[in-house]
Amino acid sequence: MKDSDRAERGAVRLVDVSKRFDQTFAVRSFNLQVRPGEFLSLLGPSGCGKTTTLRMLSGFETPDTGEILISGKSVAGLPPYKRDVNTVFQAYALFPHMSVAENVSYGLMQKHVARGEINRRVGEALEMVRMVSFAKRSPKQLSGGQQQRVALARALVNQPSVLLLDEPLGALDRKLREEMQIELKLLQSQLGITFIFVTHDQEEALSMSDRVAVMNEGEIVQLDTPDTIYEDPNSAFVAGFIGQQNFFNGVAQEQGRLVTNELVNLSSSRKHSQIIANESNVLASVRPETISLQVADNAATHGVSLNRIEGELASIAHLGDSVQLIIRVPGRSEIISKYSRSDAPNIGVGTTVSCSWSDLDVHVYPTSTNER
Amino acid sequence: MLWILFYSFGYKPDLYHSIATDRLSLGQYKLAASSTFFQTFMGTLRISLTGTALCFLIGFPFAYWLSVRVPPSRRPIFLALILIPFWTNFLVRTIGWRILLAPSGIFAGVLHFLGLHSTALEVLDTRGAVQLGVVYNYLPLMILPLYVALDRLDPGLREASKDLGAGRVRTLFKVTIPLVSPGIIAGLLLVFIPLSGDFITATVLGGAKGNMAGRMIYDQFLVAQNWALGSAMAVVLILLIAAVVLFFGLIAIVGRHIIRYRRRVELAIAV
Repeated sequence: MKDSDRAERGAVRLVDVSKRFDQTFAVRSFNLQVRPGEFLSLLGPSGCGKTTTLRMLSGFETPDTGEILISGKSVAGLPPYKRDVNTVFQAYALFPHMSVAENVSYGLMQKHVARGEINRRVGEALEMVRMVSFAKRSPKQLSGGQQQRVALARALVNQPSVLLLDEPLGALDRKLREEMQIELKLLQSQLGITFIFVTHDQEEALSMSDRVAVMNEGEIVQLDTPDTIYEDPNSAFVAGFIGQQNFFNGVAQEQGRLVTNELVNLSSSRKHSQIIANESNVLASVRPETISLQVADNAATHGVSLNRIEGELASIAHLGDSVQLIIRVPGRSEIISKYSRSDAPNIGVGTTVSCSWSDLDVHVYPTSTNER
Repeated sequence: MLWILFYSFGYKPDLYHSIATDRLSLGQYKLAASSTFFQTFMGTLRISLTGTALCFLIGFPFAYWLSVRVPPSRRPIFLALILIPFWTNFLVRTIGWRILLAPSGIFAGVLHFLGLHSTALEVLDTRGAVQLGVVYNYLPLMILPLYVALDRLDPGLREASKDLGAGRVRTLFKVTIPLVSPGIIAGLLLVFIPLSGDFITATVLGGAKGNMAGRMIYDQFLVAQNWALGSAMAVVLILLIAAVVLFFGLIAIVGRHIIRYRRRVELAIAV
């Protein structure tokens, strides 16, 4: 192995990869570069091509065009069992006729590793996921979270250059999922193995990843750090897919620095990701947590105001650490405002309130990007 | 069953009675185990074991192909193709083969056309014809349990095996076959047991050379009217079948323990 190869171990590159099923593209001219040791999530709605992408990396699907490089080498024509990657499957796919330890040893047995080393490495892998005491059990006797851990150990014991995770937390309940998220992240930073994580759960992707690739219809819409994805989505799709949003349809003025419609005007001081023509139809978005509420003055200002809209407080929902307030505005869908628990305003349901926001928090997108 | 056991200790008193049980003896067993009949029993075992093996060797790849490669929407067509002949009367199906295998029948014609065989086909009324007939007659009984077992197997398990570095063959032997073993056992028993007692196939296709124990028992009961000897033969056949099943069952159990032992993992860490 050359030094350059070693430095590349764990790097993944997809160059112009396309895959079609029947006539529809599952993945379309897909380009992605994953750095060694990175935790990268493929995030998107179901049918966006994220699982197909993962299956092309593991070797269960073959790209129609394009090239895939793992650790700097093309894997074209390599069957799954010859690739230096391992997968944690969605339904875990543990072998029911083998014990936990036998499941974990399976990969090493295939590589004809010496028995002494197998015993040692299986022990270490089970210790890593805190499942040593379950080694002799059958997978059927384990809970979902425990099966998940075994599946993880079974993949990691092979010390792959890349670990592929196909919605591994999908079947777990919320509390367990959050625990496993932390555990996965810690494990990944400790091992330094490249993780490629497929999920449709944006919270999961944002909380664990170094970078997130948001996918839609077989393409990457945005590839960025979780922070940037959340703070600065580059399209209406990403803005709507990640977290909650209040959308305002309108017509752009001043290259998108002002958006007008019959209910409200919005000004934006943000740099737009796309060039916006005057008089074009646009979509402005404002995050719920950036909308603040006040009890409206009696001398309610009639007509259209800037970055402010009035409505009736329709409901208050306590979400644990945050409070969500829904404001009914005549002539449009509800506006959602979110406060942290300690900052929530003391306003009763039925009160007329005015919602306001800063021009720093208004994003403007051409509507055409939403209908691609 | 008990009546048969009881009758097998009896004897045939005279030309006009089928059975008498006033004196009980093992005499009929001595007769049943005599060399002429013994030969037929061994021939039967050979045909049923070979037939079961052939059914498995044809049925397993077919069931695997059907459950793995054929899209679910097209599977009913193939299942129907297997099952519809099965609805036809057993005898009629078997007689059909007489037409196909006749010295100047369709098979002979095809072989002649291909230049593989020029003289008249002499398969009919031999052990070969019986062998072919039983494989045809019992194949669906093998395919169906195998298909059900394979169809219920999570395809993710085969993928997991390949993902962990096992090729196709290793995946087949380490994951697929162990997990469908109940289906395999069901198929083997469903074919082997009725096949061993079959008398129609041997009667129709076997002639004098392809005799089977089922046919022999039939003759004792309904032709020779010797119920005692027929019963003794039936008991011998049951014992033979049980012995074969036990023998292979033991091999399977021992094999399973060997596999378990070779697969075991002893953790270096104290549990």
